[in-house]
Amino acid sequence: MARLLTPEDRTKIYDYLADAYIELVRKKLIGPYERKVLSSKILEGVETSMSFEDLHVFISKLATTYTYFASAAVRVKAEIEKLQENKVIDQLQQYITHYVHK
Amino acid sequence: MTATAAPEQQVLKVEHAAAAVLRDGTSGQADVLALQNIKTTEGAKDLFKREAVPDEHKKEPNFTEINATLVKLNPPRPDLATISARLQEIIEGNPPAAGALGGADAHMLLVGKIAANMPGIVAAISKETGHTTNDVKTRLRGNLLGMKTILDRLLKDKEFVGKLADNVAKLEYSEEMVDADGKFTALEDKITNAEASYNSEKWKYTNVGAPVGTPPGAIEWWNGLAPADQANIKADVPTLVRHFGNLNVPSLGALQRASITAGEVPGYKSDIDTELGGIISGLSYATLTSAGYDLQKQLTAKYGIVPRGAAAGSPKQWDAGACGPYQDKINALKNAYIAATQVNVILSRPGYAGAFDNIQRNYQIYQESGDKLRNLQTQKATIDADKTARDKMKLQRDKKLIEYGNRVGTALDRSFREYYNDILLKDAEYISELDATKTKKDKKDKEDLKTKRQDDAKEILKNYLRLSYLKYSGGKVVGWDDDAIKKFVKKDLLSTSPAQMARKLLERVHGYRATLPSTYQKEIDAVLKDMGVGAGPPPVTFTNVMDEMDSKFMAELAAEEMPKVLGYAYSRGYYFDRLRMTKDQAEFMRTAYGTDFFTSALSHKDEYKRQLEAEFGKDVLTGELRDKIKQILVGKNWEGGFKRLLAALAIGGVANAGLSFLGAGKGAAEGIVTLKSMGAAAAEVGTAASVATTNALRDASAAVYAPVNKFVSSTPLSKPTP
Repeated sequence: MARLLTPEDRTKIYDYLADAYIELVRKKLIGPYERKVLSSKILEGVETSMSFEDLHVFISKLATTYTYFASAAVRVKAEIEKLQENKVIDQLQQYITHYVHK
Repeated sequence: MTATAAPEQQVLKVEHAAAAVLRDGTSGQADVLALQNIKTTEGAKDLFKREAVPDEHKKEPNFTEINATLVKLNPPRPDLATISARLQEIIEGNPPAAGALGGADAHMLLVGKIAANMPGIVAAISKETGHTTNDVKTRLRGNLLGMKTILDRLLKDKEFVGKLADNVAKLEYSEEMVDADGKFTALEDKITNAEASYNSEKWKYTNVGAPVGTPPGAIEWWNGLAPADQANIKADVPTLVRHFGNLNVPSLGALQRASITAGEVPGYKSDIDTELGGIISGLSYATLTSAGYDLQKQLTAKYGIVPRGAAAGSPKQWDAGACGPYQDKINALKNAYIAATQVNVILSRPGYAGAFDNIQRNYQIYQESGDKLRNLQTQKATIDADKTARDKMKLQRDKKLIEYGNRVGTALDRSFREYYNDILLKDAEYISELDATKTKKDKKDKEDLKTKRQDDAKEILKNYLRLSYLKYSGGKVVGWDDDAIKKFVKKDLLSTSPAQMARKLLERVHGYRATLPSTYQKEIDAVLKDMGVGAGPPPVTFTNVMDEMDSKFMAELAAEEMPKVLGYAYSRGYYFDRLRMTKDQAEFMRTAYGTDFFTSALSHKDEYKRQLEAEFGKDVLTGELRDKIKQILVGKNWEGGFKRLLAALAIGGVANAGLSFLGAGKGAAEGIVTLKSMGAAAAEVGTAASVATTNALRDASAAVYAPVNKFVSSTPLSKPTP
């Protein structure tokens, strides 16, 4: 069971996504209409994501839909994984206790 | 724009950037800076919130957005893409690309089709080109023959294009649509992911409902086992776990393991034996468990310690510290050996294939499948709920998109109608109103001018006619213009119709005004100006004004004013009742003037009396003479003179071609032959009295003036000597 996202996590995620987004605007890879839709999607996706897995999946989906987002998505994923690192050990611990001592 | 560029380079770059902004209409750099600013000050989430809202102030048509949106329509509408392209061509003023559907006039054709459905436009075009309305419709919808000039004009009309641009600009991808779209796609993604994870979980436990090729789940596996196997597994699993527990002991050292397969057992057992042999040489499991084997004794023998203080050669004794660990280890090894053997027995069962891992795992999964599947139910419920929500959202989104598509399709029609109603019709109304007002105004102006002129003409004669018959010197009245008066009586009266006479009088004033004192001059000029003399190009002359006077009015005016002149004349001794007339002149008088004229003239006699009195008050005639003349003139005889004239005119024809005149004059030699010679049954006309009048006057005035009763006198009267 993955840990739920905390508001701090979410803020950090938004930051990473915003950096990627601004990069897109700078490079003019995204038109005005797409900006609106992408922003809306990001808001929806991050708000409704409950765990890191959800987030992971969401961003991968974004990357496939908006191809220009792929390069940005990689960076975002890396950041998210860093965040997640600390939580992996907890996860593993839980897994072992549950699994082995059945 | 790099901050480290050299100044010249930086200037160049700024210009390039500016040029690019002008060309593209976008400023990417400014956008980026703005976004970064928002991210820093308000946070990234707010950045996305702002971005998701459409720009309120932008009102330009945005075809990129429109085309992108049209693509999403479900069911798809390729015709709208064509229409969008045409609209763009019209708004941006570019003709369609070569090879466009419909050719180079495709956009004109689109406009034409709509125009054909607007009766007002069709009627207007029909009027302008001369074709019938049906013909116009056919051409507008088809070959555009003869319609291109008009349509071209329309397409270049700023108002028309402006209205279209406004309507298209309103086709924003609204906030609602962005919301709907975002929510829908986000939810759809969520559903996809949730379903994937749900399925992968579920198919672990059961593959019911999974696609073909999915491996069986734990439940299927279990159900596929024979009952005996199931029983075995049920019994064996805990046992095996217990046995594995014995293998998983740390004191086994290198031989500690979590589990073991059947194939590994023999090797394991021999390893144990080797290990045992290592502790006590020659020891093995078999030996260990053989009857009579005393482990303690053996361990003591090997590892025991001679107690301190005992004699040399004493036997070793058991030492807990030295021997204990080995005993533990040997026990552990023994247990492990037993466990491994048991495991081998169990795992050798057919169906276990010697490895327990899979079975154990599968059994475990099977055991928990009930609970897990129950838990998954809630997940499924959520997914289903989301699906319903998503479908609803999709419907809403599609509905909005369809609405949007329709608005694109009808944009041209709508804006054309707006153009027609708001601009064409209003223009037409305004122009026609303007025309009507102008016509009304023109007519009214003409009427007003006519009335004004008539009033002014009356005023001129009323105020200045008398003055025009006076003579001036040094700004003062010095006498009468007898020549003019004489001419009036002798010539004009006999040859000019009343209307013409009025004109002559006005012309008299007009021509004489320079001679009048300057105050009068100025006044007359003012009135003339009011009549319109000298008014703007082309310059209106007095003659023009006179030409335009209404003749009926002039005749009436003459009836009012002429007798006054006769009055002046009479006061100067030009007695119209003693006129000599030729037959023609008499005829003329009768025709032109008729009896009515003089009747009405007669009715104005009081006026004349007043005028004469006024004249007398002006020191023209003075003294006794004045009083005498006054008595005579203002008396009955003046009236009598008029009556005589009337009588003369009433009589038709002239018996002889000779002179005819009224009353007796100098040429009285012929005597008062006039009436008689006319053979008139003339009324009693008091001839004797008139003779007497004449004689009296003649005698009276003779005393003062030079021959005064000469009709053809051209000698101006001189000022009477005081």
